[in-house]
Amino acid sequence: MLQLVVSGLVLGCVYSLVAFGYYITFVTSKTLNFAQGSTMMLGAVTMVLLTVDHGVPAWLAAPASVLLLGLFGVALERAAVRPFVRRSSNAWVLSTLAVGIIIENLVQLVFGKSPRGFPSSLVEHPIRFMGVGVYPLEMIIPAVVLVVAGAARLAYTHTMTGRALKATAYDREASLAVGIDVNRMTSLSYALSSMLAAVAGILLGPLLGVSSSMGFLIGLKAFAVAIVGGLEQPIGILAAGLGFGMLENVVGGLFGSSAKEMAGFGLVIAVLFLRPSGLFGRAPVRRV
Amino acid sequence: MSIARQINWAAALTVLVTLAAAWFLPHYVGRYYTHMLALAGVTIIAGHGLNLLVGYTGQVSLGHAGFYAIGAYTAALLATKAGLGFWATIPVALVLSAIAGVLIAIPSFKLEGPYLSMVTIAFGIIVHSALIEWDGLTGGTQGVLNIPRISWFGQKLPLERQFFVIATAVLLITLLMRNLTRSPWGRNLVAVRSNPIAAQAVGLDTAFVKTIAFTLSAAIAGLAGVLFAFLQGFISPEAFDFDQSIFFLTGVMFGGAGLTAGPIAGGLLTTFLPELLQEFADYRLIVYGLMIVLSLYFLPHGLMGIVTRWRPVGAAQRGGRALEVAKAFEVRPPPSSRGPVISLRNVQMAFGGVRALNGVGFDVHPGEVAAVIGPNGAGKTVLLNVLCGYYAPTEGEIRLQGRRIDGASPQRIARAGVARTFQTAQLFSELSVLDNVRLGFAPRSDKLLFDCLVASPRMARKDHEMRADAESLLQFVGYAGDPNAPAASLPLGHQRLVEIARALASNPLLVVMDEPAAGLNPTEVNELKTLIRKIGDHGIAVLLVEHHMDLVMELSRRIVVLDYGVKIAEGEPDLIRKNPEVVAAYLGSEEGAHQD
Repeated sequence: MLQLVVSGLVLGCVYSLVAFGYYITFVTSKTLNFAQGSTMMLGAVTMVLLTVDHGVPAWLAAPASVLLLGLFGVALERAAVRPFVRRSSNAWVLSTLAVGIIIENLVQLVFGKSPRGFPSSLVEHPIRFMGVGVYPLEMIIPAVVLVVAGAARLAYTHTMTGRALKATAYDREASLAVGIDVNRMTSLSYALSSMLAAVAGILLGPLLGVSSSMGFLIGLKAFAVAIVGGLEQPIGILAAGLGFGMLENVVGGLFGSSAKEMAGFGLVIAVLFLRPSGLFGRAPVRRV
Repeated sequence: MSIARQINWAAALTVLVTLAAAWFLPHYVGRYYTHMLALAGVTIIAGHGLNLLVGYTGQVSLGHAGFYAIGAYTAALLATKAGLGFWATIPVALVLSAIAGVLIAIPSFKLEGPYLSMVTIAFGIIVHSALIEWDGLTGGTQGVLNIPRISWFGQKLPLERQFFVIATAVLLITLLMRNLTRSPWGRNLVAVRSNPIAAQAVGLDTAFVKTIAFTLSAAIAGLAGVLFAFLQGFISPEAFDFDQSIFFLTGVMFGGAGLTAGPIAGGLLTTFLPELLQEFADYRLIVYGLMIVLSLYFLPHGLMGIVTRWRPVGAAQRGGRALEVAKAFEVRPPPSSRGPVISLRNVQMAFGGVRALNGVGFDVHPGEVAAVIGPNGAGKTVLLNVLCGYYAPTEGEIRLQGRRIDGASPQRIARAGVARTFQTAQLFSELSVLDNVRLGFAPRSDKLLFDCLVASPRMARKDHEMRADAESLLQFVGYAGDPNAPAASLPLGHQRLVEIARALASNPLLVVMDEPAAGLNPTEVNELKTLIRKIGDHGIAVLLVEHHMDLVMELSRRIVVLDYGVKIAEGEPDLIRKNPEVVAAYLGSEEGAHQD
């Protein structure tokens, strides 16, 4: 049981990481990348291709993959989001979903259908503590999440770009008026969002294996986490991620995987019934 | 009358030709393509349902496969376990999927955008997981096998006749959708999408409209599910996963959301496209994805958007101008007493610690023009929003003809007889001027839903009345532009007039106007003065919030002055002008009344 809780929390950290990606793009541009799950998968696949197939050492391959995915994020925003936002249409929902389909099938073609293991020294020997086995990687994951969250916070408040990003999130029009390049900020938010997904993919790869279909469900669950936490509340997202991961793992361990999905998503609906802006979201005051 | 007959003939002819084609087509295309066409028919029906939500009501569902699954499994299980025939399963399946629609509609009252998408995604996944998990009933991943074929008086139909049944269903649903979207109810749906605040202001219950849209949409998806189950003969959870929901949505967007013909083109395309892409083998889904992105990019209104030019829903044909003005105003029962139309007593409104209104009270009588003035931030607009139900007052009473209305919803207050215009005109921007005004009659279409679906003569008569009344109202307010122009294209002055005409359409006791003169040129302000006076002369009370002192002083019989949420003066214009406190509030004198 404790084992289920612990690995659930680790999984929850990954959900939060991916969910932060939804948060970043939503606050800056009120759009979401529904290919976020596939983006995460792409990060993991890039990592495997670099290390396993091309022998690049992991310390170099990991940042390289993350950067590549950042570029991917920029491209995705340009191609599948901006054109629709410009004509104020919500077709980006479907276009980003379509991008997800494209990536998933492209990867399947290049990478093969079956999942590949992702050997890492960090998942060879579990450390035992009070009857709970934890891989070193599973201890690194929460640490990475904390570091990323901390770094984001610092960058937001202490760099000019960070402040511009924050300003754009707060008020697009006003940011334009003070000369912030809002389009660039949106690009940046997509880059950051995709990089977060890539980090999540790289962390998750050794634990779950890497395949073209690994991202789909995680992407949806991370979306659920972002919504339940309140799309504009990073702390809420972190809490919701941990809670969701834990609940899901415990229910899944006890009742099987379909019950797990029903419980997880059932809870999402229940939460939204009671709190329409998420657990930690504040209901906006209506302006008429 | 003769025009109506002609249209009926054209429709009847189309129906006959379609049915004949559906009867004979299978002989020419062979079994395989007949089956494919039947599947396309199923997708078209589901697409019609989804289009109602996405294209008209503006609620994106990413879990429509859930409703489809409920229809399919209900029918399949009733047929295999209870021995019911095709026709008997339909009503049960429709009812169950409609119930699911109502349940999903409830969160949609409060949720917007991504939050609502999440609920629909979660719903789809839960249904899909339940199909797998609940294997005692649903057969788990195996699904339900040996579903009997569609039968007719106990006789199992061959494929070409099954196709005919499905084609008839497609035709039926298409006609219903066509009727609905061209009717007053179609306007209601679009109004909720286009401008929810204005929809409430005309007395539309947005929650109710959304519930209707979700319920109809879910029931139609359920019907598609029934047809799918009987056509295939077996069903398993795979056919009802998230990808299926995306597939439906793709069909609608491909074909053209918000057009009745959209789902037809989209259903055919999404069904046959994978066939055409067969030679791409492994690249099939990649090409499919690319086509979605490209078509969204190059065909913003879908395939049918090119064929039919994008035009406002329910846009009316040009017609003769109508009738005498008086007809547009219904005769109300005489006021219960000779007392005030509206009376406010000790109204308080606090946002957190900020007191935006502090004990405001005054009356407005029938036919009287009253104004609320005060410096910026005095709480004028808050007062209007409290009066119209957008905020519930923290304390105090508001009575309309003696009946308490404080705390009621905006649509209830609108229906009770308080109409509203906004500081920036809130019109349904993609609808025509005429449709905007006709939406002012929205409460009249309450009980017409069924009539709208079947395009009954009663509906046609009522809609004709609304049209004539809307035209006379436009004449009354002095709108001289094109009644068929989309509201978004109007200059500011015209937008104001249309908004006032729409407000009058509800036959109000009181019209509340938030800065009607803002941004108007001197000529337009003069016309506005005449109009407001005319409205008062019809016995309708008018409450203005206005900075334009000249207009206020000339029109108002009673002026209420607010400062920091407190009423500092009330009376006739001459008295107000001389009131030292008012002068102080405006000029910021030191002996001002800013104790709190």
